[in-house]
Amino acid sequence: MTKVKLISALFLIVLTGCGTKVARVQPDTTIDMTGKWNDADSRMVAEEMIDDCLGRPWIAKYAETLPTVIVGNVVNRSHEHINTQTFVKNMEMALINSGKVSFVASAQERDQIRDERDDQQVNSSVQSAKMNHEESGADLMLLGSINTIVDQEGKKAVLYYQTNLELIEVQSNKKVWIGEKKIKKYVTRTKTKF
Amino acid sequence: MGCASRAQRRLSLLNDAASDGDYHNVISTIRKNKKLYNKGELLYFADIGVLFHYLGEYDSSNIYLEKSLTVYDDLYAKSITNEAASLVTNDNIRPYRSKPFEIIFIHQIMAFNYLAKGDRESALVETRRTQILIDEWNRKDRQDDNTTDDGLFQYISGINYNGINEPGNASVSLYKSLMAYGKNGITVPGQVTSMARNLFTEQKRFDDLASFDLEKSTSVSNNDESEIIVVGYGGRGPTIGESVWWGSYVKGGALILHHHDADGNEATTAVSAPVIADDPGGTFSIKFAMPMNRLYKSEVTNFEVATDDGNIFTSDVVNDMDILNESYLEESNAKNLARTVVRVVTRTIAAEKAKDALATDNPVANLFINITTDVAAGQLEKADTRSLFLLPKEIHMTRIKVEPGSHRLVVSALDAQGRKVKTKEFPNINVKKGEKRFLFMPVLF
Repeated sequence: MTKVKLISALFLIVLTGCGTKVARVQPDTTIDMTGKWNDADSRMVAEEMIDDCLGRPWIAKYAETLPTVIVGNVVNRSHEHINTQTFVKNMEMALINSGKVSFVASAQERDQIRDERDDQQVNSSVQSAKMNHEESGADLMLLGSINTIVDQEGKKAVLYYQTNLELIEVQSNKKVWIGEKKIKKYVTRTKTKF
Repeated sequence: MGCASRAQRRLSLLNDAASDGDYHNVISTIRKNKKLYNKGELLYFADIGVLFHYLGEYDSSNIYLEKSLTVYDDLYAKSITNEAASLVTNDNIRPYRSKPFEIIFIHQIMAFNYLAKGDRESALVETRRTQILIDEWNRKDRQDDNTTDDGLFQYISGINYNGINEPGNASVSLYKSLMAYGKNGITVPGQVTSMARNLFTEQKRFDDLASFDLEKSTSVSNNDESEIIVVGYGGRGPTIGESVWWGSYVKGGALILHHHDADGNEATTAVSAPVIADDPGGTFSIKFAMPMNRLYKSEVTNFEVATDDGNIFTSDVVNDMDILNESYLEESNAKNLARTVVRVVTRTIAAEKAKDALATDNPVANLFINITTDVAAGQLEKADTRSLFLLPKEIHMTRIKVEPGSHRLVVSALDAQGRKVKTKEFPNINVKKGEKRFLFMPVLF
């Protein structure tokens, strides 16, 4: 009987040891699984670069009124498929939460809003329909790119990510701020397994 | 004991399913017969991914092709148990890692999927990912002086870099493309030499202009011109068959091996007999199988594109999978042969020892033991005939400059006599200013 109990206990231990395990973590916890660009990189780069941007001299020109900013394209020039939309959203969040700028919708978002306004001209009451030609124009546009350099030999690789952002005056095309953030990762993979 | 390997049974099953060109049926057959892909998970995902591309389901295609590349990446870590088992049995025990040109083809199809959706940025990510792999393969092979690359892949990369106004990078890609075509023994397409000449001239790469015999042509569009690019997949690509090799082993002597080449002529190869531990000596016969290129006849010679303004354009052949497969087998067979010979000789010696140990006083029983042992040993020796299921024989491309707007094209696949074997209409193709719009047509018979 004791043997049966012992075997059953061992069996249960093995069963509970197998299968998928899930542990919930805080969203801002950094977990690096593969060495590739991940949510931690996106959040960290966005927050640090926006902090730097908003602390520079150009903002003094907008002491009286908040500058209106629009986030344009962030071009992926890397060797990984990076969801740049997540990065753009992280930047937008950092900008809005700073309280130092006001913000307008991106080109893609504006198309939806314009479609809605056009629909309102036809279908909504005169008092509630929103007018066309009343949009707030952006004072500044934020553009950027993500680049990578990979140095690989066998099971070792050094991954170097460089994110470049530029803040440009929409009226004059003048660049009022240029920022750069680098991340370097050293990744090793096992060459053998059983 | 079944004589056909899993790879051969898989091929036979999928050939039947693909005979009427219904690729949805083939995908369904693959999913129902996953066990035929044992140790070939990469192939399972890649086969489905490529078939979705032929069907024009580009998102589904990329999902499966990405999974195949994840398997490839995971296989970087070699399994000690698998490698040890393959030394005793055969290479089919090892997980299928694919051939370099197959991996490049997978990335190429992924890039095409993105280009079909107008996502040039993501297509260039595939360029960069693949270049890292190519650089790593060439770094490992440096001592063998092998250079792995793909002319079509670099050419498409050049078109994309040019399209985002990076003529410097485009020039580098075109240079690599010309080198790769030369190394792989594929005739450089006219449109590639034309584009290379235009770019090298613009970029003042005079040394490169002098190195290559580039034809003078103004037919290729500049990077800011709108274009429709039709990619045609013509004919059934190669698979891997088995070639039987036989010979006599003499301890400490030369091993003379015979086989039939692709033309059916008997060929002879002499190698040094491998040194085997515990070799009792003596002479015995050995027989084993090596992979060989298996080609299919194609009904398609080229593609013709008729535009809505009455012009007719003829395609260039931009890649040849038969040649790539043959090149790969030639380069890898020397290593394969050495490994196979050691394995077969070791196993034969072990089989002889087993027969001695099992011998009885009964001659009939001894005969039965000898036959059983020899058959078992022979059954273990199968060549690795695994490959991507439905590669095209040739990839064709036609580049057509168009004005921005809506266009209608009719694409026809032609046989050697100029007769149309398949025709497809592409109505309402909208092309924006400066856009390179990609269209695809598989005619895989």
